[in-house]
Amino acid sequence: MDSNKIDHILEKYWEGESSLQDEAMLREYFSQEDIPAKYESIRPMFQFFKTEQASFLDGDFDERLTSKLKAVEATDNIKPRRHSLTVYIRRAAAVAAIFIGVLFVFNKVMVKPPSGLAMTEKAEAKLAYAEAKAALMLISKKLNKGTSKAESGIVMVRKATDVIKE
Amino acid sequence: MIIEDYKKLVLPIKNKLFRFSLRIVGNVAEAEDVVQEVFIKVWNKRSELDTYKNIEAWCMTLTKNLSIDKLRSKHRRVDAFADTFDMPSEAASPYQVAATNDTMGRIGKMMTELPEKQRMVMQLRDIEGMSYKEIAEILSVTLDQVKINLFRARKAIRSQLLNSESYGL
Repeated sequence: MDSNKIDHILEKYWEGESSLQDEAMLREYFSQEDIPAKYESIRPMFQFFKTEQASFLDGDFDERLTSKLKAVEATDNIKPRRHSLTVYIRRAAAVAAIFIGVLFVFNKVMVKPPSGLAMTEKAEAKLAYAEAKAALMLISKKLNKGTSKAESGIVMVRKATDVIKE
Repeated sequence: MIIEDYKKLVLPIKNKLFRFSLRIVGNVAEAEDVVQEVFIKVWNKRSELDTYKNIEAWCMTLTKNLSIDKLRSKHRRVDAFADTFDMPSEAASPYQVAATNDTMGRIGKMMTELPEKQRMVMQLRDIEGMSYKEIAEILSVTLDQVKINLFRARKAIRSQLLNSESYGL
C-alpha cells in the first residue's frame, strides 16, 4: 500500500478520527513483514491489538457456566414454595397486628372517654352542685326567718302568760 | 427460555466480555468470574431480554461495572492487608519482568498504566473494533468524551513508543 495513504490514515488515527475500516487496514498493513523503517516504532502497537483479539476463555468455561445456570434454575424452582409460605406467615402477622391495633384503640375509646366529654360532665356537675347549694341556702334562709318569728311569738306568749298570772 | 437457547444467545460474546474484564481487573481468574457473573445476572432477567435493544452492549456495561467493583474491593482488601504487614508495593515477579521486557508485554503494560477510562475506550475501539456510539453507550459517556479519551490514550502510547525508540529500548 502507498506510504502516503498510510500516513494520511495514521494522521486520522492519532487524532481519533479514523473509521473502523481505516483501523482494520492499519492492523493488516502493520502485520506485514516489509514496511518502511519509519513505521518500525509503532508497528508493535498494531501487532499487539491483533494478538489481543485472540485472547480467549478456556474450554471448560461453557461447562462451568452450564452447571452454574442449572443450579440457579433449580433454586428458582424451589423458591416459589418457600416464598408462598413466607407470604402466608407475613399475611397472618399483618392481620394479627391490625386486630391488636383495633382492640387497643377500641379499649382506649370505651374505658376513657375523650377529654372534651369529660369536661362537659364536670361542668354540668359543678352547675348542679351550685344550683343545689343555692336552693339549700334559700331554704335555710326561709327557715331562719320562721325561727325569729316563732321566737318573737314565744316571747309574746310568755309575756301574756305573765300578765294573766299577775 | 431454556439454558441451551440462552447459551446460543450469549456465548458468542463471552471472549469479548472476558478481554474487556481482563483489561480492567488484570487477572484471568477474576475476569472469568466476572463473565460468569454477568451471564448469571442476564439469565435471571431472561424474561426481560426482549426489552433490551442491544444485548451485547448491555452485557459489556454489566462487565464494566462488575469488573470495576471487583477491582475496587480488591484494592480495599490489599490496602487493609498492607496496613497490617510490610508488603513490597507492586513488586514485579521475575515472570512479569520477562514479560514486560518483551515488546508486546511492554505495550500491554503501557496500556494497563493508562487512566481507567482511556484504557477502556482503547480496548473497546482498538481491540474489539466497536463504533464510537457503542462505546459511548457502554461507558455511559458522550461521543466527544469517547474521542477525547481515545486521542489521549493513543497519544500516550505513541509517545512512549517513540521514547523507547530514542533510548534504544
